[in-house]
Amino acid sequence: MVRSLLRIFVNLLPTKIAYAHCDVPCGIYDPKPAQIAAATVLKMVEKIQALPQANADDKNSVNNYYNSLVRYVFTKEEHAGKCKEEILILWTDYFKPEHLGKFPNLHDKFWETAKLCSVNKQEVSLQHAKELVQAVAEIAEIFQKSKETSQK
Amino acid sequence: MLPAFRNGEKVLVNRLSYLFGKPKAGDVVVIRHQKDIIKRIAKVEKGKVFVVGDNGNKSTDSRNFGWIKMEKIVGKVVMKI
Repeated sequence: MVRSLLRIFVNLLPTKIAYAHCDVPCGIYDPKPAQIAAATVLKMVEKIQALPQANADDKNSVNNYYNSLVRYVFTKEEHAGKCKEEILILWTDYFKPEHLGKFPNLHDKFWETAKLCSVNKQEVSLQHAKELVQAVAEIAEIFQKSKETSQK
Repeated sequence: MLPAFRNGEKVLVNRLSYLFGKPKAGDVVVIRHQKDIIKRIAKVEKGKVFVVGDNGNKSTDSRNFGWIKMEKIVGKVVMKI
C-alpha cells in the first residue's frame, strides 16, 4: 500500500535517465590490440608455411598435421577478424573529422587496412600478412601523432 | 551497474544529500560526466571522489576517466522504486 502510493508519487516526479556507461567519450582507444592481432596473423602464416608435410602412411602423423593446420588457420581467421574489429573502432569512434586536416589519407588508410584483414582471411600469403602488420603500424603512428596533437 | 541495478530500473536520487553530509565509500551516486551516470563511490578525497561500477571489468568508470569533482555529483541514490 505504502509502496504503491509511493509509486504514484514518484511518477509525478521529474525523471531523467542515469546511464551506467559513459560510452564513447570516455572509451579507451589503443592500436595495440590491432597490432597484436596483425602480428598473430603473420605468425600463423609463417607457421602454416613451415608446417612439415604429414607422412601419409602414418595415421597419427596425418591427424597431427591436420590438427595443427586447422588450429593455425582458425587462429589466423580469428585474429584477422579481431584486427578488423579493432581498427574499425579506432576509425569510427576515435578519429573525428578534425583529424582529417592533419591526416588527409586517414580514410584510405583505414579502408585499405580493413580490406587487408579480409585478404589475410582468404589467403595464406606472407606478403599480405606483412603488409597488414605494416598498415596497422602506420595507423598506430597516426593515432600516436593525433594524441600528441590533442595534448598540445 | 549490475548486479545492484538493472537496465530500466527507477531509483530515487536525493540531490540534497551532500549539502549536509559528506559522500562516503559505498554510496551509490549519480554523477554528471558527459551525461548522467550511476556509479558507486570507492574512495573519497578532498573535493573529489573515485567512482567504480559494480559490474567489474565491464564498467567504464574512474579507472578510465579519473577522479570526479564533488560538484559533479548530482545526488545520492537513496532507494530503488
